Amino acid sequence: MVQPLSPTAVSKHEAAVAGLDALDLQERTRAVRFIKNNVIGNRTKKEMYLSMGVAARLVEFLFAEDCDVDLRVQVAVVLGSFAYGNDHNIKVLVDAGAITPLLGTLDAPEMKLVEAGARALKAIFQSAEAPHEDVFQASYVESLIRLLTPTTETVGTCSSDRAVPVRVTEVAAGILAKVAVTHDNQMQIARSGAIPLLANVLDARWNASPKVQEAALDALANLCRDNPTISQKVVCCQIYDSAISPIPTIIKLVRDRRPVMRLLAATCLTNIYRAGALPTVYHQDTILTLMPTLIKLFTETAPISTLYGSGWATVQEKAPKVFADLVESSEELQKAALEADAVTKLAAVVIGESAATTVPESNELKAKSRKDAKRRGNKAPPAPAIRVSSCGHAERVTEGFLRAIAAICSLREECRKQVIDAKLLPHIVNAMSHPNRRIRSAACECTRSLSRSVKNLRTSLVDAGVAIPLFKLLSDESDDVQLTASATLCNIVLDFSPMKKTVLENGGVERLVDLAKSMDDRLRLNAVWALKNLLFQADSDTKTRVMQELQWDGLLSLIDDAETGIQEQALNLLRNLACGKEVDIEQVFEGLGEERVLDILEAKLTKSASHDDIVLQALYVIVNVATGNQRHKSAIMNRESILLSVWGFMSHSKSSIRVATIWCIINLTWTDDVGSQERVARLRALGFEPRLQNMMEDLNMDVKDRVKTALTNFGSLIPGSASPGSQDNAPAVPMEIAGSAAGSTVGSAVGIANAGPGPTGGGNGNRSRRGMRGAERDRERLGDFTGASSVVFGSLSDATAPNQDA
Amino acid sequence: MTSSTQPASTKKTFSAEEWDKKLAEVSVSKQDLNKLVMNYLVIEGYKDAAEKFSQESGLQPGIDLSSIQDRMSIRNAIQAGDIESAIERVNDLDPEILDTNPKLYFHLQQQRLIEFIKTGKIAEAIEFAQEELAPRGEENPEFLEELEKTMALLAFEETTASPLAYLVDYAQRQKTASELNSAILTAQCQEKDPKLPSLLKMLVWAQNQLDEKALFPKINNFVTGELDPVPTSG
Repeated sequence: MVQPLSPTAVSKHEAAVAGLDALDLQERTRAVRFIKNNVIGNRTKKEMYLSMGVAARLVEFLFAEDCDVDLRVQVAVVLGSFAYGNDHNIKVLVDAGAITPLLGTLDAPEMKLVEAGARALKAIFQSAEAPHEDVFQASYVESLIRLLTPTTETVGTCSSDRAVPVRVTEVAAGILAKVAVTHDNQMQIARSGAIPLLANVLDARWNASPKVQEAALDALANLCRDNPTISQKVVCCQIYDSAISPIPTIIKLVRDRRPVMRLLAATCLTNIYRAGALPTVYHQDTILTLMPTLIKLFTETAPISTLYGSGWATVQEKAPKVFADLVESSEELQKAALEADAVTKLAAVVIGESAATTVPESNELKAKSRKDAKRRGNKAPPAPAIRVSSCGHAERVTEGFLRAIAAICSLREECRKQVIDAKLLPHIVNAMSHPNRRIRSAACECTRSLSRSVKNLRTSLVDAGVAIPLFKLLSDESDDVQLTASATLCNIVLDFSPMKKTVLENGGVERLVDLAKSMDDRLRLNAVWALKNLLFQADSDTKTRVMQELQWDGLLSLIDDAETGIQEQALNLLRNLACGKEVDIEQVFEGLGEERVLDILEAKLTKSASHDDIVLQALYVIVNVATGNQRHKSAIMNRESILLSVWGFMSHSKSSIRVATIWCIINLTWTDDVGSQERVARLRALGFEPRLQNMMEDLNMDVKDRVKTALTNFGSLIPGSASPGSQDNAPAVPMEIAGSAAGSTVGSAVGIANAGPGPTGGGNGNRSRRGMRGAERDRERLGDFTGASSVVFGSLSDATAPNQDA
Repeated sequence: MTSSTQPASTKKTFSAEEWDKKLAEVSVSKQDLNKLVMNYLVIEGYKDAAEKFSQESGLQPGIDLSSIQDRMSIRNAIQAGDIESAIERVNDLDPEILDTNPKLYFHLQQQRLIEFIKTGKIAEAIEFAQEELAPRGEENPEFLEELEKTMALLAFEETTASPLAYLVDYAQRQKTASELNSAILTAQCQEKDPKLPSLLKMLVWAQNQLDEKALFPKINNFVTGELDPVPTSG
């Protein structure tokens, strides 16, 4: 808000702006200096001058022929000060074309101009919206890197070179820290030789200039982020050619006196660790040093303002995020964090924060809005009172802590228990309806982590009333929030969760079907996944409801989606639809058309033969269809190409696929069923029997047992005598759960002895995937997860920890 | 301290010779002592002395000595009530200081307002408060109380006799000057206070502690640093 100024006040500023056009250089410089001393520290003046249109004029001075160095220095300082205002100011500067001429100053022979120009650039690049790619044009990166070698005062005598003061190195490193956004950015900076120079200033000889060390750590941390190549480079580089890796130095800085240094050193190590580049010899040290340091920083309110300019931030805001990055995919570190009492510390801040801010603030706000309402005569709704300076900070703190909570309990049941015991759940549920989308998203991640526990799904999450707020988040304005919410929902709609009903009653099917048509691959995937879980061992009514919404054409397009992960889930959905009673299979045949069903299966088993996950689901659709009546079984028997594909996959390297093929045979040859003799004869003619006999000695016990059942059906083994001690062979009832823990726990398959193979989809269905927030890297990793029913039970044993990736 | 409460005989006595011998056993490197002195000169702003000392001791001051001069002239400007010039100089020295310290910036503007009021420029004071201070209060409600108090000065004819007299006192300038000085030192990664005075404080504390257990030659005159003879027991 710009206060109206008195006429005299305005006129002196107008005079200054007019002075910019003076022909006399000194007068011009005086005008710029006047503006400079008015705008530094003064938000309202910055906005006022920018609205008077000075930005473009000042930028011209940077390359105008008739401007001397002193004037240019003053101009660069003013531009930098404008950038310390807010994102809007930075946008005005960018639009005025300030960046390129400022980059041009980096090679100036006068260090004063270099310094002012670099400072202005650093301030501009604070904003995420500033076009950081400009730095990667021409040879600006090289110019910045030339500034990374500070001149010590003792060698200041060699005047031929430009002497670089250490504070300029600090600014240059600060710029690199901000512009290393993409993988390409990181690589270009590293290729230009920045890494060893940045490592050099970490050396003890620069301890008297801690800020340059902090800036270098910040730059190294951002260069190493999700980048194994560069992380490796940092580990292997040598400080001043000393043959010593910088890692011990960085570990030492994690114990520095300055909290900001501790935070940045911890960030740097965390990123190297996540990239899988930290040598194992340092792992113990890392856990012992990093973990307690980060946890202590949870309550450290020191500002990191020099790094973040006017966007005032504190160590407390950042520490929990680094902590989350460190522990999110390592069970070992989550255990260590638990032992270091991290949950209690996190809870103390979250609960303290909400007691300190929410309660009084809301009263204050209420009082204020009442006053406002009175003043306005109750006409206009009260404007949301936002305290500009502190409000954003408190919210960022809350967000950071929620992310840390989500991370610490993503993998281990005992961590989840601690989170629940710390009475955090009510705060998490409240935060799910917070006006700030980042807080909603973080809170939703907490529920997702907690929902990976059967116990929580049955009790705590129900008691805390998670379902309805979560459900609202499915329609959130933010894609990120929708994404996390839909991933959480995958667990909430599991068969044994009492919240499944709530979801069904509140229009959940409709919303999920909407999301399944989203343009966003990730949303589509989560939605199909959730629908599939919803259909796991569902009754016919639920199936009908889902298909009324989704429509068979909708399912068809998901089965042929461009993303293989979505194809897999859609086939799994089909498999769950076809599971249960004859009427369920009949519905599938009617809905898609008998020929269409068989065409799909044929296509998936041939064209997608290299995608194991797709093949597996296609095979189980066959398994389930083969539990149907004679017509259903014949449909399969009449497609020779499908039978031959099954025959082919019997020697697949994955036992899960071999098991599925045997189940196909068992169900087709079940001796009590009408027409089994003809089918046995047909399969025998196609050469299935000797192939089964070859599998009698399969190394996988599961496969071996099923093979015996199948051979019994062929009449070549006498029932019961086949495998002594093999209990599940004795009843020889096709109710296979594909060895999935989830299936047998869910257990409703038990007792439907003649119903044929259970929806093994349940096994896979239970699996939920870990966080995808934002990062590409996560998505790549996600592709690998298989058979993760275990996730629900908290072990997520096949989730790839980052350090095992490399 | 209280030798009367305790029989002197329970205390160990060190003669001057013994004490000297003990002191001689402690090796303090010349380099460390020089660093302490340099630290004092730099932080307290003795630029010329620091320069000379650097030449004589061969010790690098670890900082651009001309910045000491700048810092001192900024301090002097505030102490002389010339806030505007102090702001200009600090902006020349490091333009980030005031852009990243809203509280300090507010205090400097508040001091300017006080100077207007002190010199009886009421119209200027009111205009200045409207243009410069009101927006700061709006941005940071925590400044409002201080702002209101300062404005209240205008209500008193004799400010020095008012309950707010402390604002127009010289000590207020000192306070503002120190705050700015600290901010400059922080920006230069320097300590806010020199190490020497706290070492002296530690010396006094240590002597007092030892007093309860022993009789020894003490330093009582911190200007000369002479050891006073051991008080004779009995």
